[in-house]
Amino acid sequence: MGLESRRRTAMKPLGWHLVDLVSRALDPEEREAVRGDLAESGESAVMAVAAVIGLVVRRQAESWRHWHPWVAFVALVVPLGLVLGVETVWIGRSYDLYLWIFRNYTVIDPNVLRESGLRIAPGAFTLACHSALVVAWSWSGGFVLGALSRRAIRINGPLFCMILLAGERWAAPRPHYYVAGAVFARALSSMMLPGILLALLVLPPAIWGMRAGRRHSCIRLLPAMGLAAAIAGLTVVSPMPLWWCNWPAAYMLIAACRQHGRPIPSA
Amino acid sequence: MLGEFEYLLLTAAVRLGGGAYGAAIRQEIETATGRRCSIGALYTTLDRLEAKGLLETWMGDPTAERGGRAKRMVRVTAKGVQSAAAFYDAVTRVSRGVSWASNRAAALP
Repeated sequence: MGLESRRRTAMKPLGWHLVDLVSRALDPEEREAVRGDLAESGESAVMAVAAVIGLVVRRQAESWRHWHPWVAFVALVVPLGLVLGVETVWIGRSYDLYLWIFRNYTVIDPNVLRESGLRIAPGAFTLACHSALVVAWSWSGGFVLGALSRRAIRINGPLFCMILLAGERWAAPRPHYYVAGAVFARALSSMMLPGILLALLVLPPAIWGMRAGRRHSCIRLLPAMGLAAAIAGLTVVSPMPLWWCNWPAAYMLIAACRQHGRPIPSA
Repeated sequence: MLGEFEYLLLTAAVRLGGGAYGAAIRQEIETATGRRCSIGALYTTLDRLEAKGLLETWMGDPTAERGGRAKRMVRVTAKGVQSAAAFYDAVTRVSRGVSWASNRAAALP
């Protein structure tokens, strides 16, 4: 950034920073034209913010007149958001358990482990598969959400994240379940782990998927087949085989088949 | 059939010719009607008219007076000219014989 440009940015009144912020909700070319029109017409910052908000609201209202964002909301945002939120809690419990066993392996009576059916290697493998499945569900769900919602992703995307958090909070263990002070450290880890897993395994791939789906409504056939096969395989070994969560991958496969041999459309 | 605002926008774009873009069209409409023209209404109507094939838009070159930002240039298509003419004919026909229409055009600035 040059000296002149930095000086201009520093001198820009707060209102114009707000205009820049709000106009990020517009498509890049439209943002460019609108910001230029506002600069040229010498609007005050307040009027400019109002003008951009007005345009953003109109654009959103227009995009919700189509059925696609509604399908995305009903079939993805609410059910998949909730399921992924709850899944992170289940995975968090498993991680918590296996971490505890790993930490105390030397002092645990092997007979107790054998009788409980807990075996480290197969358990870790299942947990890794379950984690990978959640990542794949998040990415494919995010992709289809972006592809179906298009411009409405600015509402469906944050709603999806909020429902994820709500699902995670609803299923996460509460502090009052743990009355004994001695186990509070474990309680804390089991309360925090789902949130950490949500931030690592679900949100990044879901947001990445949304951005990719918004740009290109489908992927090439070979990656789509690979993704569908991987998700199906992971679902088979998953301790909770929720087959319906695979519909975004199936949708991507069908879209890729229909688009096969033609260039991938861009937004 | 066009809407009132669509007609205003097409007419302003035709009047401006090669200099038709967002801010100029907005200014033209505000001067002609004496009312504010919101950017939201302008850009959503531009999209609608473009989807109907009544005009074409493209991004022009950035200029210094716009803070180095590009213009969205507008050109009315032949179909757009036809639609605007049909709207004008309809308004003229329906206004024939009413008190406010007689010799009104001559009296306007």
